[in-house]
Amino acid sequence: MTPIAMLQQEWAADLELDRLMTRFLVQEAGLLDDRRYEEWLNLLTEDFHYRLPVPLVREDPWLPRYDDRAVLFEATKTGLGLKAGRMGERAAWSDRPHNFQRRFVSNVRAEPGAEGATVQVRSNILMVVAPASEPPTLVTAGRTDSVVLEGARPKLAGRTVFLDAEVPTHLQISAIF
Amino acid sequence: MFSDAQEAWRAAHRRHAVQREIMVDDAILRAEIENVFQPSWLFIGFESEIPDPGDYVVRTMADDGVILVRSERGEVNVLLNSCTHRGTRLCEATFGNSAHFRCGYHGWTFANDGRLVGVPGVRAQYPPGFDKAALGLHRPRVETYRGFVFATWNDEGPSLRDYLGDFRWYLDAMLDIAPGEWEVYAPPQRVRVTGNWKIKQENLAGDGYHLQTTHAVAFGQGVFPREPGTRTHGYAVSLDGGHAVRLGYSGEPGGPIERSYEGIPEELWPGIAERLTDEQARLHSRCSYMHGVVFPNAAFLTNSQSQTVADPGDPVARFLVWRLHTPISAHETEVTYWALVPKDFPEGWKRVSYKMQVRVQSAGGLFFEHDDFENFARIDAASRGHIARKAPMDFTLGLDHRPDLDGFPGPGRVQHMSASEQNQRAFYRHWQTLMAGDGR
Repeated sequence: MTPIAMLQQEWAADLELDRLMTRFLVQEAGLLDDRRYEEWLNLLTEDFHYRLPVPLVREDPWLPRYDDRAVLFEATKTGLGLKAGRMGERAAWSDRPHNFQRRFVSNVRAEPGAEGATVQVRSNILMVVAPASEPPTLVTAGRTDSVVLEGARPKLAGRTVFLDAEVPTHLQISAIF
Repeated sequence: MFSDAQEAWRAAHRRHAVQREIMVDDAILRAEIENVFQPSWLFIGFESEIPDPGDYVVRTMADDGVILVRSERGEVNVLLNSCTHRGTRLCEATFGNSAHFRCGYHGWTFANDGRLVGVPGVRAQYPPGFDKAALGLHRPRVETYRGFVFATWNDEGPSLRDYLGDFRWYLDAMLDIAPGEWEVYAPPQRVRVTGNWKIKQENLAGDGYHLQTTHAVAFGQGVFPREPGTRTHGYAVSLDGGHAVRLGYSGEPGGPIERSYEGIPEELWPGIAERLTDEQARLHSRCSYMHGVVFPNAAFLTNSQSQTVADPGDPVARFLVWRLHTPISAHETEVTYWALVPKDFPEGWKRVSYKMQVRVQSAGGLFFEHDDFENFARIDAASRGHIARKAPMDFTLGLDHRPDLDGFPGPGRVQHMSASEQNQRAFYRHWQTLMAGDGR
């Protein structure tokens, strides 16, 4: 067996899981881009929890870069349902007219969890956010997702978003990563 | 021809009008830094952010970076974050612990009380009279009140206690609802938003008028009660020095004092009743929310109303958020949010209180800030034009409503009105006085 064939054999399972999770995350990002919030909410487990920890800028680069208590935003599925529900309210000033948003998901790394029913997925996200009449801004973040499989159907049970900005704009953190 | 009432209103409109250019003009911001920020006591942070010797956080006083640091002797210092040699920024981290700050350019080193203690080549290469004592870091006056740290570059001005004046009565009432000290729950949330710093201040000073429109979604989604008879009624209180408080009550004024403190663990109520004065107890009785400003750019809000976003099983926990609105330019502001909790309260209660602050009154919150910030950005966008910037903003709301001279327990000029611009008028009057150079 050649070294390349050995590598292919050794990495095949990991690669397949990465590809499956990439497909899931890309589809999920597409629902948010397309504002299909009802379908997006259906991808979340009932106990889903979303967190944006406060970024920390410390002298020692080896210390944690995000706080474990402080958050810029956090919400349950109920809270995100309210956030998504704003679109139907005529007085949701910050959502009408709509902002332009587009998500690019990459660097997906999946780790199988217990009993073959959960997956820990790390990924990078680049998002373009632009109010209707303003130039677009870019924001990037790393994400750690907890994915559970209900039968063959993946669902998000938790998402932590690690922003690459100590002091983001409120427009940036108002988007769902 | 105008009626007498119309003539009177026109005169009042002109008297209280403020030109929109104060929201968009960077030359006016430079004048504000000189005339408004420099002579005032500016909020810097909390003692509980720096509990141990060497603990520091980096902050901003108007447009100057400063380090809030506890010295080796335990004193609270504020130091200009700029080396006295070439002006290099000394401290790049936002927080940490250090006995010294060493400049990355030539190595000048400062103790955490600001003294210059190390200069490479001082014996061999500098003249004999080189005086390290003359080259310590610049230090503003620093005073604290109940753990709140303020600083000022004004050597001649009043003490912090006198500067806060009657606002201290309201701050005491707010803090004395819990025994012991308050502390910051976690590092603050910081965010950049479009819009001038003053629009955020005047909003929190007393704008009850915007709730029905800006935050209509909060009513629509059930955060605020909508049914007749369940809406709160408000008081606007303007205080000397540009400070202001606005309060909302769920009951009729003048009723019996209810020794109930929504959002505080019930087993602590008897202790609260003993601690508060009768006037403070009346202030709290059936009070649903309280917000206001400390001039020029600090603000606060406390409430326990927004249970819509609590999780099942959570106790009703009020939150107290302290905010700072730091100008980045005339068009952009950094907003910093600190969640304060009583140090001795149960950890579970603190966690829920913090969660409510994040969900209700932080930049990422679900209901309020997005729509406020959107409107502030619209003011910025629409006030830049050469016609718009010279047009006045109107501040006559509630102008003919007489002050409430009795029945309200706290000091200040009190108006019993949910929507009034009394506090905004007082804020800008004080601002205009300082801009005219009367604060120096």
